[in-house]
Amino acid sequence: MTWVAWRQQRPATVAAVALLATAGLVLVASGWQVTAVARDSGLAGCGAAGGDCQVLTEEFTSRYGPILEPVSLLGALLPVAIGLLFGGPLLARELEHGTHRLAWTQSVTRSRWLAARLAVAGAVLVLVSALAAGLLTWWWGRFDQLGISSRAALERGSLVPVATAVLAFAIATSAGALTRRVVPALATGLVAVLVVAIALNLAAQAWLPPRPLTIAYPAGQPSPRAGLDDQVLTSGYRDRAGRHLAAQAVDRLCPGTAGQAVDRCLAANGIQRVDRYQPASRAWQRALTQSALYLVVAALFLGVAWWRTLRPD
Amino acid sequence: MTVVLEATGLGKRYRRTWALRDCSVAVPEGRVVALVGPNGAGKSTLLHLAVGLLGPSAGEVRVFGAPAASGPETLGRVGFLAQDKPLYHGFTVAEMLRFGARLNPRWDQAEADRWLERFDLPPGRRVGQLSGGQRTQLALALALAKRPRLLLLDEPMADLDPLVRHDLTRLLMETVAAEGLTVVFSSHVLAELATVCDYLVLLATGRVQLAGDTDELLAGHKLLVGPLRNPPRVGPHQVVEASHTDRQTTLLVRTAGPVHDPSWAVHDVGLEQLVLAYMRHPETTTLPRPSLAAVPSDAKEVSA
Repeated sequence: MTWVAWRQQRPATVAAVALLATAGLVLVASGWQVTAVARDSGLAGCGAAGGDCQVLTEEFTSRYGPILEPVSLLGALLPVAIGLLFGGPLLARELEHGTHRLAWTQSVTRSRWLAARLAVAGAVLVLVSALAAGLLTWWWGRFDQLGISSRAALERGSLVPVATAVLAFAIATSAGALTRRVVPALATGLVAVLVVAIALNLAAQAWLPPRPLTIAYPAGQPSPRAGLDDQVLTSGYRDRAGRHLAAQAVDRLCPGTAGQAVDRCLAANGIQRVDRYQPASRAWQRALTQSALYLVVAALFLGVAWWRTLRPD
Repeated sequence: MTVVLEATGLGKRYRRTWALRDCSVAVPEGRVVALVGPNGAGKSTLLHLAVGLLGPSAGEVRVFGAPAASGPETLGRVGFLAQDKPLYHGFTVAEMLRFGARLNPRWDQAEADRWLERFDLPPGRRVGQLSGGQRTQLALALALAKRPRLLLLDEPMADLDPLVRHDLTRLLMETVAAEGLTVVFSSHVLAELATVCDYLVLLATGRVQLAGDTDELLAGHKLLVGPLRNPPRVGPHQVVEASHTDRQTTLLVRTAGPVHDPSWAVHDVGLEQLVLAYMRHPETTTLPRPSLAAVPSDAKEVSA
C-alpha cells in the first residue's frame, strides 16, 4: 500500500517541488540582492560602526518596501499552496475520475487505504513544507540582519509554516471528500484556509497563552519598549483615576495636533497611554501555540474527511 | 447449493427515488449470472451495493455470508469491474499491475502477465494512451489476477467491437469454467450473454422482475399460437405478452403445468425472446423461486 500511496502522491510532489524551486529562485535572488545593496550602501555595517543608520534605513525601505510586501505575501502563501496541492486532489481526484471504485474494491479496507494515503501524503508534505519554511526563514534573515524588519522574529522557526501547510492539507482533503471534485475542492479549500487561519489567529491572540502584556507610560512620551520589535495589539488612554479614555475625549481635553504643547497638556492632566503588546522575545512561545492550534483544527478536518470517506454512499 | 451473493429486501434510495427496491436474489456458487434490465433499472446499483461502494437504504446484501466489503477477506474474494473501467491514467500498464499486486495478497502475477500477453498490452504504455478496448482488457486482467471467487462485471463489453467481445467472452468463460468462479455480468443487451449465462436476473425500474435458472425459466415459458382470441383465455397460465393479428393470437405465457387446450400450437421460447417480452411489460413480475417443482403453481404468480 505504501508504494501505491507514494506513486499516487508523486505528481503532486513534483508540482510542489517545482513550485518551491520557483519561489526559491525569487526568494534567493531577492535575498542576495538585498544583501548586496545593503553592503554597497553601507547599511550592512552601519549598526556595528555606531553611526546613525536612520537615513540609510529610510532610503533602503523606500526602495525595497514595495517589493517586500508582495514577496512576503508569496512567502506566507507558499505553505498554503503546498497544502492545497497535496490535499485538494487526494480524495477529489479519485471521486471525480471514479478510480475510488477501483481502489476501494481491492483486498484492502477503505480505512487502511485512507490511512496509508494520508500518512504518505502527510510525511512528504511535512518534508516539503519544512524546506519552504527554511527558505522563508533564510529570506527574512536577510532583513533581520539589517534591522529592517521585525517579521523575522515572528516567522522564525519552521514550525508555523509547516503547521500552516498541514492545516491547508487537512482542509483541502475534507473539501475534496465533500465536493468530490478537484477544482471546487481547491477553490473552497483556499477560501476556507484563509478564513480558518485568520479566525484561529484572532482566537489565539484573544484567549490562548502567551497572554499579551500591558504597559502604561505618560502619554506624549515614547514607549519605554520602543525599538524592541514588540507587536502592539491595542493602544488606548487612561486618566489619573485609571479610567479608559476614548480618543475623542483626549482630543477634547488637549486639542491640537501632536506637539510639545499637547504633550505638556497630556502630562498636566496625568493622562497615560496604555499598550497591550506581545514582546518579540516570545516569538517561539507564540509559534508553538499557533502551531498546536493549527494542528488540532487540522485533525478535526481530517476527521471529517475520514468520516465522509468511510461512510458508503 | 452454496449461495455466494444474497440480497434480502435490498433497497437503495436517492433522495426520493428508489434506484433499487425490495430486491431479493440469491446467486448460487459456480453460476454465470446475466443481470439484465433496461438502462436505469438498478443493475449498477445492485452491483455497487454488493461491493460496498454503496450502502443499502433498506435490507441487506451478503457476500460469502458476510456483509459487503466488511473486511479484507470479503473484499479479496470479490473481483469488481466498474462500468467506466476506472484506472489511473498516469500509471503505466506495469504500474497498474503493481498496484494490483500490492493491494491483493492472493495476487497472481503469472496470470496477470498471461492476460497482458494474450491481450497484447505493452507494459510500458501509459494507461491514458490505451484505447477503450485495451483499458477494458487491462481492467479485466486486474480483476482476474486478484484471484476472486466472485466476479462482478458491470457492462464489461460495452465499448468493445463484436470480434473482441466474442474473443473476450470466450477467454473469460474458459477461465471461469477452469476455476469454478461465480460471475455476475450486467448488461442491457442480452445477446452478448445469452450463450454463456445459466442464471438470469432481470431488473425493471428498481425491482426484480424475473430471476432463476435459465433452463428452468425456458422450460416454464411457452409460446402459444392459435386462432384469434381477444382477450385470450389460457386457464391457469399467466400471459406475459399477447399479440394479435386479424386471425391469429400469439401468447408468451408462463405455464402452470402442461397446456392441454388443443387449439394452441405450443412452441419453446428463446432466452432473448423471453427477456424482451418481460422487458416490454415491466408490470409483469415473477418472484424468484428456488425450484419449479417445489412450490404449487398457483402460489407463484404475482401481477403488479
